[in-house]
Amino acid sequence: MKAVESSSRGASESEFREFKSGGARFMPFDTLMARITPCLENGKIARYIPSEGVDGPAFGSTEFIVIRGREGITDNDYAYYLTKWEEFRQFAISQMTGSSGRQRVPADSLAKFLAPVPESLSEQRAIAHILGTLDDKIELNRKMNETLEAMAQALFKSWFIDFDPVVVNALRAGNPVPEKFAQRAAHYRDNPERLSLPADTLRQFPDRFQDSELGPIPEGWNLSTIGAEFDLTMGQSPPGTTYNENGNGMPFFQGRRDFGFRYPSLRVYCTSPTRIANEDDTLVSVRAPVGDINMAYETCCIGRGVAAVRHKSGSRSYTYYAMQFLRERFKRFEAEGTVFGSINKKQFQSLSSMKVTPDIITIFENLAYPIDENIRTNEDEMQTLAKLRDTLLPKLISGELRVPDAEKLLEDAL
Amino acid sequence: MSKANNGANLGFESKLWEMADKLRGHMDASEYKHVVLGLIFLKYISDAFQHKYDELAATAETEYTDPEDRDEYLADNIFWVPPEARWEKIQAQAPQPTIGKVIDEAMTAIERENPSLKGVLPKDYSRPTLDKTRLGELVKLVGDIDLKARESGVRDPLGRVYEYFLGRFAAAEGKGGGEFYTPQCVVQLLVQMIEPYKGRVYDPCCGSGGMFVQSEKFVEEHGGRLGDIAVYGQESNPTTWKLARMNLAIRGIDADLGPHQADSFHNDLHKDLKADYILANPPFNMSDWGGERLKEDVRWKYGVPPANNANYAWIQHFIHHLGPNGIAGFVMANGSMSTSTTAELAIRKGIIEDDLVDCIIALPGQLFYTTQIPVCLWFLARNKKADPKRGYRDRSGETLFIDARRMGQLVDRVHRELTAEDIDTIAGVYHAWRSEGGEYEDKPGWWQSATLEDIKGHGYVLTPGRYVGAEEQEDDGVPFEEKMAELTAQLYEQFAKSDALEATIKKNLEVLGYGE
Repeated sequence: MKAVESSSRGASESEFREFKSGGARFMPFDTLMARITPCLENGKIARYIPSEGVDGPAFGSTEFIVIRGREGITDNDYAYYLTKWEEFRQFAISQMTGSSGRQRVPADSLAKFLAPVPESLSEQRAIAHILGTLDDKIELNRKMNETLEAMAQALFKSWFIDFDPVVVNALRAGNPVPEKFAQRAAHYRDNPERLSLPADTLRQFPDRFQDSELGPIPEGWNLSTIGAEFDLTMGQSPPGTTYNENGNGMPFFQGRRDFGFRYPSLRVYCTSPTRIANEDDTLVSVRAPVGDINMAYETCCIGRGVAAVRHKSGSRSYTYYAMQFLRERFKRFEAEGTVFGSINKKQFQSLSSMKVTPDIITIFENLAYPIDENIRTNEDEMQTLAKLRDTLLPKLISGELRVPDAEKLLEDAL
Repeated sequence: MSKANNGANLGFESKLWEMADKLRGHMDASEYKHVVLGLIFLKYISDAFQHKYDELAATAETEYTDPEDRDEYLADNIFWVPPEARWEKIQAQAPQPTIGKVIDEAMTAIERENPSLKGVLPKDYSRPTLDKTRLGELVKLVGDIDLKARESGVRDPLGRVYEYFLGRFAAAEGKGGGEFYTPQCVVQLLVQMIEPYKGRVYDPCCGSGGMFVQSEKFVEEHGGRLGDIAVYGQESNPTTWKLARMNLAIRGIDADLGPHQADSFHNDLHKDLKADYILANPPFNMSDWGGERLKEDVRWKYGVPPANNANYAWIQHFIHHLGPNGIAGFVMANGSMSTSTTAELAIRKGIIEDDLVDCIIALPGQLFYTTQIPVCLWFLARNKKADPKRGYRDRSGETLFIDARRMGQLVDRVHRELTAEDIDTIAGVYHAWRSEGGEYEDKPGWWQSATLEDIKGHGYVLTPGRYVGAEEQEDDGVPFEEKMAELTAQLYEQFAKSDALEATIKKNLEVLGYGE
């Protein structure tokens, strides 16, 4: 059940187990619908998308209802969107039986639902195609954002963790390269052009290493602390009476609960914010568990479980990736506190960090920020696409909006 | 240590448990525990007796030995079992409705004949709430343990079953129960760390006596003699105290648990004891220990512990009872390592500055049945100077920190166990660090030897995570350029798909009448 999300379309295998008996049996691309409180009410519906190399039937919890189109009568993709129709879900909820805590909907009562299914299979397919391309694009944007973030991370790691440009410069200048980077040095020794950085960028990096408490670091970059290099705002929770879920006031994040891939999702608002995070500040969870990273999409209010961080230079992307690479160190604070881990302002500020020449931060920012902007645009687009899908879906499924020339639409699409 | 010793993996024990649990009916696990464990104990002493009896009977003709001469048994440290309490008699009456009364009489007879068991055995099998049919079946089940064990080739089956059942009862009682039981892997780790080969071993909150059973086992395994250890314990819960007495008797361990149950803080039964080894698992964060009645005490050398948390009272109680070369290993809630309340911080500071802290281990969560909170192990050494006799090097001013939070494996959805390999690894690191000429090396993210100065620098916080640092990042081995090339190709492909999809969506919208 955990693998079934309400917001996205695919469910993947959570585990492989020997099938004994009981539970639901389903085929690839079948629709799985939760039948139990509160998953049904929350709209936990997904399709089983098998991973590569898996194509047989699959098995799941007894708490699923499996829905599949009937050969020659209903299209399987259309069946999925039918279950996503609000009226269908409301009907299912109305059919729930059982004691108050754990109510379930019996599969056979769903069979009584009357749906206006287009007689022509191609019209069903056309409807599924129109909605499906929107979902495909949402999924693609999600993947694209993962690729984009991985690129910026790779760049940050190369420059500020592995010091590749400094290794190359040191080799060129004939300066010694510390043992720690010997492997990289060997990689660049014969072909320094492997690191394809423009000459004027490369020139900004030192060509020599110096020793420090934390091992060799580039000359001129010094060991420093988070407190000295970054501005840190620890969240503070406003009184509970000022919270609401109706969109009044400023978005409010008490802790990591609403954190997502990059931006936290909006749920709670607060009418009298105390501590503020600015747009593009990096958000770090400071309690239970410590060290989850997100970015503020807009000005928002932060509670005691969240801190907002920004490098003193104002760099947004540099801050975000620097915090990501601190994650391991945040995790060390997990064992403190009797019940759950936490990190306080003093501890956060005293974490070690590196003082990097401002020019290099600027160059990094100029490269990484457009990547982050692209991620933001994709996220925006995903919101729009989802809204569009949710607006079209009831109209198309109910037949209020008909697809003219469904045959032709499908032909063009192929 | 072989995996089979880990208790849970024996098969025949779990089958027995299933059968015994079926007979439990509607009885609470906490009540049923005494019914079952009492019977196992009865079977055990009857078996030991019968074994000797047969031996004596076999030589009766040649050496004139008399199997009914009780002195023969006393000489061998075997309990004398009067005829009416012998197992075959009991089992023969198992189907009768009077079986409860028969067992009670057997228990009373054994206690009468063996003063050392006085007041230890349960004697309320005839109570009306105990279903006599089920009891009869249970008697039969316990009677068959030998048979089952022989099929599986297990030695000392009753001792094993007793201990296994203790563990299962601890699990069945769940939260709020099971306090009498320390998970086996934790006891094994404590024992393997401090190696109580010989001398006085002490546990002032001994529960069902698991720490001793494990340490005696250890001595046996390492070729020492059982008599090399003198065991001292104390337990405040009267029924748990009885469980412990039986548990130790079943293993043939002669322990001084005091004449009765008693609270170690308010009625220390071993006031003058200076132990060579202390092994303990005191209750976590005990809040009502009566500290307000004990403001002044010879044990509070480093300060008066707070009345609302007994952790530092226990720690000082241990230190007080530690001999000049003694080593203590005990379990504590994680808060003990970093608490900053005035009283507790002052005590910890004193202990650290007196250079008593030898090693601290952070354990993974979910090891205990009673609580989900993560816990740690403390090891205090009275004397950290070189000890050539035991092969220890001079570790003055040094403390070993081990972060084992990522070790262990889940045995079910909510319980974790340290594996035999985990225990070997942790104890191995400590021994290498402690020994003269040991090949110890810091391992970032896992263990680190720190100095007194380091600890002061961290404000006297003992959390291992502070000292061990971050694990060295496993490089994915892909050089930056290759990774970028791969990601770029991927991104361009996604851009292309995105363009195509965009065009299709635009067209679809147009068809629906929503063109630009």
